[in-house]
Amino acid sequence: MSNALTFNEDQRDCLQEICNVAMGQAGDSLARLLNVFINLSVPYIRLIKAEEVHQELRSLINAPQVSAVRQAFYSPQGNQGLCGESIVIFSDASFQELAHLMAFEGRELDARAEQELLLDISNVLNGACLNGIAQQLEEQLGYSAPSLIGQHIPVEQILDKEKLTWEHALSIKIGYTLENHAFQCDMLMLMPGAAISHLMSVLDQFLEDF
Amino acid sequence: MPIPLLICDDSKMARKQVQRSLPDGWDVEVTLATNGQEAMEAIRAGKGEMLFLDLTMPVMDGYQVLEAIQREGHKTLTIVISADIQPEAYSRVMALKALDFIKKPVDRVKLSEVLHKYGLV
Amino acid sequence: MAAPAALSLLDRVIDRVDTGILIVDPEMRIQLWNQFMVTHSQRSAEEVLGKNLFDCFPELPQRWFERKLNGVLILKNQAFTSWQQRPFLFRFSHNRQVTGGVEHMYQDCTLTPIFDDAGEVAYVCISIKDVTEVGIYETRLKQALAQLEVASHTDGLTQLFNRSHWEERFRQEVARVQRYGGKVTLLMFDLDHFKKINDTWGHQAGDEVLRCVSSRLRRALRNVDVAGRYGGEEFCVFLPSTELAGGEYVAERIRKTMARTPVEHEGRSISISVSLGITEFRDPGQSHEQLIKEADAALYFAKENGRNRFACFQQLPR
Repeated sequence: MSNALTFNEDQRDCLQEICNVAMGQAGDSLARLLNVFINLSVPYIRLIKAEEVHQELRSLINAPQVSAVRQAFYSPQGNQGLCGESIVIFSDASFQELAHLMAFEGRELDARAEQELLLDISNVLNGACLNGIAQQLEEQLGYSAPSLIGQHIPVEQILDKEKLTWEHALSIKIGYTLENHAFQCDMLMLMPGAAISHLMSVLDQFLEDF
Repeated sequence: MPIPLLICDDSKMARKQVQRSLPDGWDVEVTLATNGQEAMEAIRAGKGEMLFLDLTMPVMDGYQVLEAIQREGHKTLTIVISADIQPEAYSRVMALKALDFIKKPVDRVKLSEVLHKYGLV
Repeated sequence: MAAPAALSLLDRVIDRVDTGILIVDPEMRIQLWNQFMVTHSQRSAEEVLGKNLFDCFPELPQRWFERKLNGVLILKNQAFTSWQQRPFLFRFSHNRQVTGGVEHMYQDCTLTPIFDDAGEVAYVCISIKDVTEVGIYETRLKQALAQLEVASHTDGLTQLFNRSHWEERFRQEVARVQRYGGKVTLLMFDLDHFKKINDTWGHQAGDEVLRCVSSRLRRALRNVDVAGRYGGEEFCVFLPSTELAGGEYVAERIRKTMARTPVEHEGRSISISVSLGITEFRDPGQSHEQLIKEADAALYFAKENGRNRFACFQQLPR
């Protein structure tokens, strides 16, 4: 894959708006799940090389300890279509808030219920956000089950055991904050170069229709 | 005389999307704004009798625009076009005297439905 | 299946796959029940089709599962459950009755929305994978890792903590009292004339003595006290929330229990005794290394002054 894999201004603007809409849908899903109002901010989109992932993670996530969940997404077109892995990262401090919010009848969550909550929320965010993007681009996506990368680990450890086979990553930082609660989670979509090229050509097509 | 119509969104594509969805032959004079501040300047200059307004924007967001319109006593008719589709967002903008709320992505059908509802076309 | 006379190819496949498949409508009425479900639940399709899922299976975790299902219906999004967080949805037995060591089939479930033409969720398809094997292996792996961790902390001969682990625990305890206040007393002791035992009776006898000393030591301590083999014939114990006076009491108990009875080895009685040094944590500036040096100095003093006795660092002549 060439290093010239960069978005032009129109592609970037288009993807930004598509992400805005998708984020709105994901935010609405999260709001219904948690029964709270979610404050949305403008998603921060960057295209990075795989070797920059660690640096990107460190600069994106301003928390000493985090919990992270991964989930794969794939298209019926196989690896020629949109596909990759999404990583959702929760800061530990914000997760405690969330666990509080979700605790049934004031009961604290046990470790398993806490993990389940992490997986459920990641699944909802990934599903809503990625489906939102795919729908606008008239594509389809399937998902694998989400799995825990780790709980209460330093940011550096999120991907340190992984052999990254992705050449590029589309980093979409979506800061969902809950009103009156310190909660922030970030989403990172990792895609192989072919999928990003595909995304670019779909964006071009989308722009042509205008 | 054409109606002064202001379209405010930080995304070029979103602004185009709105322009594209305007009913055929609707007599309007369109002004574009990329954030709330620009929108307020246009409204003060009389270019915004009608306003299509995004919520999530840098510099000055849609909520702040609605507040400013009320504060400064403009007669602007505002239709919010937003990706934030939470029921709470809807009730918040309605409390700030928006005329109506359209979920993004906007299209011709949705827009003309709302415009017909208020007898604007 | 609500089976027509001639089964379609698809119906046959659904009944043959090694995965549980059931479909419910938004009112939780069962619409499809494949052979896997029949086999494992011992309930035929005729018995359950059209009936409410929770009426048929009252043992299902209804509240939790309804929340999951509602998520699928409202958010129109797939949902997943994993055996790691919730071992099973349906209480099925599994095929590893003999060697499994687990009671029920571990299950990974996927809940998928099935849309009608209007884009609304008409049904939810639940597929259930038997992951008992995976679960058993992962559980065993975890046990092995836990054993490995214990092994890396333990001295093989005496089954006490090894020096590095004991020292780490002691360092943490000192850091804790430095920060939050409290007491800790340290006790180090050494077998008297151990070289002579080895030389006279052989190394196997020496090992037996060390084993015997550590088991007597364990019996002489409270649950909260943390003992380790510091090296060779030297042992170490720290006593949390204990003052010097309490440490003296424990030291005397250890001295007595060691000297009272000889160690029996291959028909021989080997008399043993120990010398002990004690010190207590006094001011926040003290490091754990300093405390170890103090206890060692007291131990040296006890040795110099006739062995089979204890000495406190605080009472050493200056």
